[in-house]
Amino acid sequence: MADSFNYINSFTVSSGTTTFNCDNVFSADYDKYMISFNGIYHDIDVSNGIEGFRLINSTGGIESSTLYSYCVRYMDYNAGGGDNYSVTDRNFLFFGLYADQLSDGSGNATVYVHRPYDSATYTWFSSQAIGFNSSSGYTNTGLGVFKSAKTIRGFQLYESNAARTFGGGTIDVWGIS
Amino acid sequence: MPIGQAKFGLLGGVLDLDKLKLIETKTFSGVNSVEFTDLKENIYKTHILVNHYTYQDYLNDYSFRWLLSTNGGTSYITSGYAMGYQQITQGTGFVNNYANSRTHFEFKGAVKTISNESGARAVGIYYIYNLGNASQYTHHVANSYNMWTTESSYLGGGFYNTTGTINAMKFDDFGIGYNIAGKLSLYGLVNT
Repeated sequence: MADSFNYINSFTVSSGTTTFNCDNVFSADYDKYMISFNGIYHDIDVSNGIEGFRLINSTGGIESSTLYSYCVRYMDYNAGGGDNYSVTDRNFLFFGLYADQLSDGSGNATVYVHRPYDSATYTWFSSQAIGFNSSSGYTNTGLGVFKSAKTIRGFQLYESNAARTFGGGTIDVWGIS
Repeated sequence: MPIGQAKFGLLGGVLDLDKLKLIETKTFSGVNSVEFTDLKENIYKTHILVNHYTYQDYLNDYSFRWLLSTNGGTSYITSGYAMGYQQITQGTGFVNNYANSRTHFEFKGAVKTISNESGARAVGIYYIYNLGNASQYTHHVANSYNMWTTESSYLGGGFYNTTGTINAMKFDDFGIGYNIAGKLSLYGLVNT
């Protein structure tokens, strides 16, 4: 760990799937991480807000219980702004990644993850996202938390609608010491 | 510049970033425009623009115009931009700002009444995506803070929803002849 800000790994999102794992990116080396989502899109024609992501625990299991809470302030460039938040705990973390088929638009975001590997604390998120689809363009600023104190080693890009498969895009992860 | 000197307020930390490569820093004053014409967009997927400080001497506007180019700065695009952001102003709170058709990005990088607020400067950080990806649109998200008649913060971003390789960008006075000043640094995120 020579640097204070260090590249960890890159992933190219597979097409034809609604879940894509970025595993073994969090470790004891860093408390904070920056994730850059670049040009995430679907392989079908759908204006969608991708659910977001789920976490991967220390044994490789997907954390899919209703332990995620979030609040996102959004701006639709055709219609104005508002709030999008979890009224009750959800089984995914939404951060406002809007996308479509590539010819109609894609989503980009920078997400900071705080203390995922610490088994004594919850995992916290802060995010900014921007995305475009055939409906409109959206910017989103959000905060979120995974409310279970456990070691988290990775995350999963997640879409609940089986018909809305991903088409591509890249995900890069950096650690911040 | 040692990149560790760049303070990233969003994180509350200081990043000494061997993997965040400085492309270029522009320090300027008494000019009408400043350009970045070597974006190294063929290397980096994500860029970060740090506004260390900016200000202007024009009292009737409070932004710089931010334009993109696909021909290295020979000419700049003046259509097809869009923006959506939340302005948070002291005494007012949240104000929605959005437009799906603009002639430029508005760079909230100025201070209107600099003569009255001699210490005031605008600051901010901008994440820019897909400059060099010819099949994707170029977007950015931003956190910026400035002083107009009251202190304001801006959260949101901008869209240029036309595919193509963006290889230069410019910040200027809208072509109406006021002076701008400041210090801007452009970085590329290394992902290899």
